[in-house]
Amino acid sequence: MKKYTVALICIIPAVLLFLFYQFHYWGMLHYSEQYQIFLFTKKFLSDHLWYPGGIMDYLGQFLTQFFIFRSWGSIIMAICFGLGTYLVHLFTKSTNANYNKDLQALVLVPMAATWAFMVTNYANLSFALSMIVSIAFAVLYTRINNKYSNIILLPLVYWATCYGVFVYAALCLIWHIGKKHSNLSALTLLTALYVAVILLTTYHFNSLRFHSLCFGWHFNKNPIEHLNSEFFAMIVTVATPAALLFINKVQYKWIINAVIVAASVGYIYKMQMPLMNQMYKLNYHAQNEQWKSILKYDEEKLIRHDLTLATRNLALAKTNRLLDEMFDIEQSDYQCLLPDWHYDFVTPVFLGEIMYNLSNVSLAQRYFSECNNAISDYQKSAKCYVRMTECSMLNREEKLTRKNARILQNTLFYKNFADSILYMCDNTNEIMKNKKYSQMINNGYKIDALYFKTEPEQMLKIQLLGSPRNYVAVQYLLALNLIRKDLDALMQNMQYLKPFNPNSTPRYVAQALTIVWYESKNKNINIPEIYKREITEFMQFAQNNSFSEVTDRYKNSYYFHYYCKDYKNEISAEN
Amino acid sequence: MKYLQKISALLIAISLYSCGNEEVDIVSQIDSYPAIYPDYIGVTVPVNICPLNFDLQSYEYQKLDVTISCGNDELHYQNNGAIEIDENKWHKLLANHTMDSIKVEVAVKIDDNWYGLKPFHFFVDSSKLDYSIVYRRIAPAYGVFSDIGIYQREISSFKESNIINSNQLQNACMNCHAFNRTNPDNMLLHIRGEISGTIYKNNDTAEIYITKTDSTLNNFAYSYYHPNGRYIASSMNTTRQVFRTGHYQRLDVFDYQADIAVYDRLTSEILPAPHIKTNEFYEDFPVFSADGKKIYFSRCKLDKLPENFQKLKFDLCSVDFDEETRTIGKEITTVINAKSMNLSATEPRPSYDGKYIMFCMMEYGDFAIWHRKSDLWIYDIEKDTSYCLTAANSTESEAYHSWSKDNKWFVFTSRRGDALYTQLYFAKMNPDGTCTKPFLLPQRNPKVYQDENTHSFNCPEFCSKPLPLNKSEIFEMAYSKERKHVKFLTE
Repeated sequence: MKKYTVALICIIPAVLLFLFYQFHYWGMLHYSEQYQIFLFTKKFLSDHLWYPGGIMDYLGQFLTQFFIFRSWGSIIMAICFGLGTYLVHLFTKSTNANYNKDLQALVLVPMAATWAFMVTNYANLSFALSMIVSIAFAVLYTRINNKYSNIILLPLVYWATCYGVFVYAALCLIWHIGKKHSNLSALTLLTALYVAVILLTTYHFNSLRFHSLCFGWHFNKNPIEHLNSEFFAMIVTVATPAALLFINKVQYKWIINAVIVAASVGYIYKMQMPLMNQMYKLNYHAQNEQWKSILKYDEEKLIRHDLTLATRNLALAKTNRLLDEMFDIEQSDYQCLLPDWHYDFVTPVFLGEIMYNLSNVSLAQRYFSECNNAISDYQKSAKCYVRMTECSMLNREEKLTRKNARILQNTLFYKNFADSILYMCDNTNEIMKNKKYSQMINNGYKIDALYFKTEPEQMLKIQLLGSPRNYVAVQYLLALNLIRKDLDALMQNMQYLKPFNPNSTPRYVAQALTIVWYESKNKNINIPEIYKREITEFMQFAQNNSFSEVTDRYKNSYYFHYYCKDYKNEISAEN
Repeated sequence: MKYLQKISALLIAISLYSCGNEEVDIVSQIDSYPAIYPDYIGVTVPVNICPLNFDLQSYEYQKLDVTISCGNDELHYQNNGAIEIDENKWHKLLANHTMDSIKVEVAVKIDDNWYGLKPFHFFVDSSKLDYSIVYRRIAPAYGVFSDIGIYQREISSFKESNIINSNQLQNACMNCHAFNRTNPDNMLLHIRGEISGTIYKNNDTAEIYITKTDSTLNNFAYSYYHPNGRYIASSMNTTRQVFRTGHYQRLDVFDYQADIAVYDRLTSEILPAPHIKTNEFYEDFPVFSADGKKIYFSRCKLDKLPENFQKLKFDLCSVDFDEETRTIGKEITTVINAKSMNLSATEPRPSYDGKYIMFCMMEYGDFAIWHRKSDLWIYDIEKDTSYCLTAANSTESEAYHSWSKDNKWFVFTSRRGDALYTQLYFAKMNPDGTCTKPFLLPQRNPKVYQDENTHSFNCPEFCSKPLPLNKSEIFEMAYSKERKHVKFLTE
């Protein structure tokens, strides 16, 4: 294979992968970075060194912390991909002198299969690293060419990559087959012995099913579901050089190569998780208070999901537009505002962010803590620690704040944050000098009450009793009334709006009031001038009896939300 | 060869330099005690305690110089971090100086100058603590449980061994381990979740039971052995937690229902006590008295929940128990009328000599660990008086205490460290019913422990020897499909 061809095969896909992450799939980089914490401490290192594959986990987490910057994350992913492909090329080249002629693109396949798993939310970077290191050791083995080298290399690879040792051992066997070496039997015996040792060790350590000994598995309390992708990547990595042993010449090589490249790229693209990617892009913006970036999101491209809608609604509330624009996108129920949390590490982060921005510090603290506990493999989250540290500071838990901050001091990118918190945490004046924190304290709960998720309106009202200037909470309260079609409660809660909008009524509230007027028996009630335009609009809506026309014209109105269910029922009854 | 010699000489020089202690030339004496973590100043320790390693707080120091001495014996350490004391030398020092005060002199090097701090002492008691302490180590959690495990920590060393961890049991929560007066030959361990069951170990046999029956609320939760090892008093609870919006206290835990029962391990029967198992009262935390003739428990009149849970005030009550006839007395006696003090008494633990009952006192409810105002109290059985054990308490929560086998010491959990992570503290009971200043379970590296520990240690129980139940035994029983069932006896 000519050098430039190798360069093309390794570099172009890596560049494509860089572009893929940089401009499209960076939400998953944020996802990966969010659910880990890399500590520069001896204990953190020693905790990883003792178990097989731990060093790859360590290295993976070390690199993942750089995903905080999307371009760095994209570069790391691209380099790993390119390096892996190059190592497959090196190995194949040393195994088979004739590999060259026609199927150059096949060396892409192992890393493509690996990245087809890496784009899922179950993967850690340590999986890709384990694959790369296993192949690198196989290359090293071919260079050493000593039949006793495996006495050292096999345990070393096992310690470094855990189950990557299977890939390594299989590649060694392939090399021996390719080279027709006579010491194959010794290697086979040794490999069999090690497989036995590994399995026994695994049993001894823990149950294979419930432990993260298997590198790169976010076992997520149910790892079996996700094994196939990993095994597939491992098998493909071994099968590719093996196949190249037997295939030397093919017809239509350019077409076949092009198909291989297209299939590889297509496979990775197919395996991506668009919803997760989008959710975590929105979450990234929310964490960094980039509300406008959230609202710039194309409504057509916004995937309708409780968490995406809840983050969009949060952005609307933070920019004081919730009651004017929330129904621009169909809202299914109150979960679009306050989603239910599940026993996972995804929902608490979103809910925690909402509570944080509502200045409901105690609940935010709770949800970030839930998330920190729910992360697979008992990993912790630096992002959660950041929020937990802020919340404990605002809750005046000084000792706990210091403890959390000291943990973050051992990180690379959150150290400055931790230092600033340690500087201000025991000084109320310093906290109050911080605009965000002082606002949160002013907007927070002044009354100690029990929080029942089933009664969010009550909870918001209790918050507003102590902090009536919390406009985010006011918007959430009225928005909940609107979504639940509880217009009586809306009428009662209108009082909370007065301090903010004495002369105008938000659009959807005005529409709701029009419905109240329309549905009230006494239509002679005094109608403020500002509602008159809405009434005209509403009368047109009410007179319209074609569902499709109503949908087209009024789908972004509160009338549609309020009546659509009944309307749909009527239509379906007619049909 | 010459190079080799030079390198060897250099290595020897480096090793000699690193082994030797720097000379301490004190430029100034500071008239205050060193702010050490953990705080061991003026504490009393048992003779078999492991080294009291500590770190100096409040100063950005270059080096620490510590001299621990008594009589002619002296240990001397220098370090640029926490002091780690040699275990063998430490035990020798303590053994030679029981019932004596050990002096600790601390000097600190700041900006190349040495400063001496006021020396402090700790007292070595001749009594020994039990072999180990068994506790549940858990990441503080609410809904989602993370890393939970039952661990055994030796008292005389830093050795901590894992008995079982949740990742080996489908992430099941586990808790409620109990021994018969620190003897693990009679022990139980409850596992929750899909593979739930209670493992009962009795000398050489171990079996797993489902302890919930059609007539009882739930599986057994808080359990306590009768001195004869045959009976176990247990509570059955339907526990809920509610979060709070204020900043003083994070959450409240309460039972919608709570009952107690006596379980006869020999016949696998729950003994009838319809007069206790009523719908009028919550009963919780049952324990047998030292002679096994009484059952102490917390009791409170039922109220509408969750609205009125802050009105729940538990009294400490007792009822007779006859082990021969297997009967529970009809008359319930109020031992501590906490309600009359506008307080709530919970988690009674009698000393094994029948002298005291230690319990938690707080504003309301019975789940002490989440009450910042929960304090340890003592009920003197002979004098029939109760009082707050002031020396043991702090502004944070104190809870879950248990006695050492010789009744001289007790261990309890406290959140005084940082208001969230519960840690284990020991104190000695004085003959006059007061106690010595509590001290934290010593850690090999206190700085790492303070900065990086993200676990709580709860439900500590003294244990007189290594646990006879090993990991594979628990594993096998938990995953076996066979479960024995307890029977509920009706009168």
